[in-house]
Amino acid sequence: MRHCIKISVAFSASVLLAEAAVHALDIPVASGKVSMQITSCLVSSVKSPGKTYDCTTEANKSVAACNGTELCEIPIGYNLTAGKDIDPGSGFLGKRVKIVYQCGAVSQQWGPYNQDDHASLVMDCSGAWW
Amino acid sequence: MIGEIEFMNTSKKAVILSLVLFSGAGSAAAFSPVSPSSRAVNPNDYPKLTETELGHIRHLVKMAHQLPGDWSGYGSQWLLTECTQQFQLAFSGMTLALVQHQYTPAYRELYREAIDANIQKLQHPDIWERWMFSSRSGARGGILNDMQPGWMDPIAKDNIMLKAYLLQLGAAYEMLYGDRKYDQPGAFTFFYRGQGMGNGLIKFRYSLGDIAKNIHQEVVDSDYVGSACEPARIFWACQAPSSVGFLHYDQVHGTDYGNILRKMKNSWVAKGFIDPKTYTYSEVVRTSWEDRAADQKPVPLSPMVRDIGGWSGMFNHAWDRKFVEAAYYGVGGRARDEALKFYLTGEFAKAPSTFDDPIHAYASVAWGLFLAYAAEVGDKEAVDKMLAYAQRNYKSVWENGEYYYPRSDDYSVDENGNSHGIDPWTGNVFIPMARLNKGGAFYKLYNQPWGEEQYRQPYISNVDALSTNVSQAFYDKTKDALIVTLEPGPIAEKQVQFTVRQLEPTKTYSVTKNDKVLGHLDRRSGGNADGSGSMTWREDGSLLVTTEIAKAQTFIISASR
Repeated sequence: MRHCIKISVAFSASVLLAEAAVHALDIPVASGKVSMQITSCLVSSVKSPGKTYDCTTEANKSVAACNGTELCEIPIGYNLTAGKDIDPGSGFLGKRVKIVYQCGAVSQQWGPYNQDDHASLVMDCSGAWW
Repeated sequence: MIGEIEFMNTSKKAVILSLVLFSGAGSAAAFSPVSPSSRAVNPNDYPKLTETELGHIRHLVKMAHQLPGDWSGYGSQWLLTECTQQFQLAFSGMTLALVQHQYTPAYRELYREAIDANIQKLQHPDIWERWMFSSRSGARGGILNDMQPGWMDPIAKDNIMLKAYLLQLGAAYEMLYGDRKYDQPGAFTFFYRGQGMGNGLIKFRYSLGDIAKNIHQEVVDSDYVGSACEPARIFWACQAPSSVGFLHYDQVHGTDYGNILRKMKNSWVAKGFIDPKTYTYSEVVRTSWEDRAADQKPVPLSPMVRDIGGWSGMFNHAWDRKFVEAAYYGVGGRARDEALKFYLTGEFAKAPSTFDDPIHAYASVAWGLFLAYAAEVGDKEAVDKMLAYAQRNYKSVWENGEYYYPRSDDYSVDENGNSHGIDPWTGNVFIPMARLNKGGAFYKLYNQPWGEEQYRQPYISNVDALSTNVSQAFYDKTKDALIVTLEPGPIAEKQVQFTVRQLEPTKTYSVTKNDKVLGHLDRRSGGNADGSGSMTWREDGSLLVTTEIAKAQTFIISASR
């Protein structure tokens, strides 16, 4: 029994080391957990560029909920601006969302897209970035 | 709620009970007395699809089930930005809906699956991504000085040319089947994953309720003029599918979106976009880019019966019957007479070409729209003449049990004044729709909605659609009788099976096949084996029927006690 535990511990340690090595190489793993992080998230008014909202915190919450999956959906509606309209009256076309995220060392920009309660950006750390 | 259709290995799962249905092969003395109710049921009193109509339906169903991205047979040369696939899908779905509602209400799986398939196809990127072009608008029409960035979400703003059909078909589906699947969040999902363009992967999710609310709000925000087709262009025709979609939606959900229909009509009249005295209208109203209620400008008024008049007429008949019929005929009936002459003499094919319609394909679409409009208002004379014109001039095809009129680009006018050109929208959909609509079919579809009573009635399922056509499937509640006629399909089989569902377990049913009384059947009895087929109660309470299919077989299953 003790022998089995030793083997199990050794195996687990090997797996953890291998995973760490993959992260160290900054190569997103083909399956399993990946390192996705929001670098920046910005909602900005189209007509009044000074009106912006830093939504990095909100976007990272969505990423955290994905729990390390390769593909992670981030709703890009008013959830990003605490339920508020940063430019009231500007309508559907009035606000745009841009998100920059990292898969390991690789940086990606998604958006700008219209802020839209029915839309979700699908962040992709699967490696298919062409 | 109608149960999910089962495809079980019936030979294994059927439970054959001990008693045998009184056999028709025996002597008369062996039969139970024939009930008065079964004698009173005459199959000829119920709707029945003809061979041609079955061929049309088979073609529509086949097209609905083509693999995603396979648009074989849909291609049109009418080069409007959105192309015409979405319209073919939508009008095909509504044709199947009217057949479901009025011809074979007790046979649902074929229509249910095909309507759903059409709805799924409307979410295919080939359909909705066209919006990225349309939403850019531009200088054409004098609305802007240049194209705009546009937007990707096909529902959020404008684009009634897509979302109206999602509402119309989704609500019709829910009304027909009592299945609220489109109420689910994300029931309509549009996933942009195109390579080489765009700002990354993005999904747009809507429920049927989201779409209804969106369209309703746009109509209100436009001062009741409507939801725009392309940005800043509101067509009367494009409002009709969503208008009637509201009717079904309200019936299913208990809402009152339909109250905007009269307000919209009144607004068009008050603003001079519809002249109710001359039955003329502005096909399109232009608005400001920013505000659909601002700078509304009509184009010169034209008769409501021609061009795209039928687009609205065939559906608006459901809620504005008198006006729509009057508009069809025009003052003194002249508009209808002139239009019919126009479409029967090849004149329509001589209409001036436009740069987005190099081969007059739109002329054929207008031909089909008029035909469908004539059918809905019950102008049998016009329908018969136009169908005769189609038979003479369009090359109809029978193929694998499907009947349709394939596209022809020959829009020249021959020495007899006929044109042979036909667009797929007309050949695939409008002609079948008109042939199947004996007058007021859409009126009935929207004014005689189904509910729990219909969902609980007996119906048949598990029909092999390759070997079997169902030309009759009707439950007559006044006689408590189910009338079913099966006909051979394109794949020859000696025997076929079907399942009868939702018979009352406490009732005894009289069974007649091809005018021959087989006897009585109830849950206490089992199957029969009279040499020509069998009937077997199954564990789930359904009745499995096996029959030969070399020729048409008509069954009457009526409650006798």
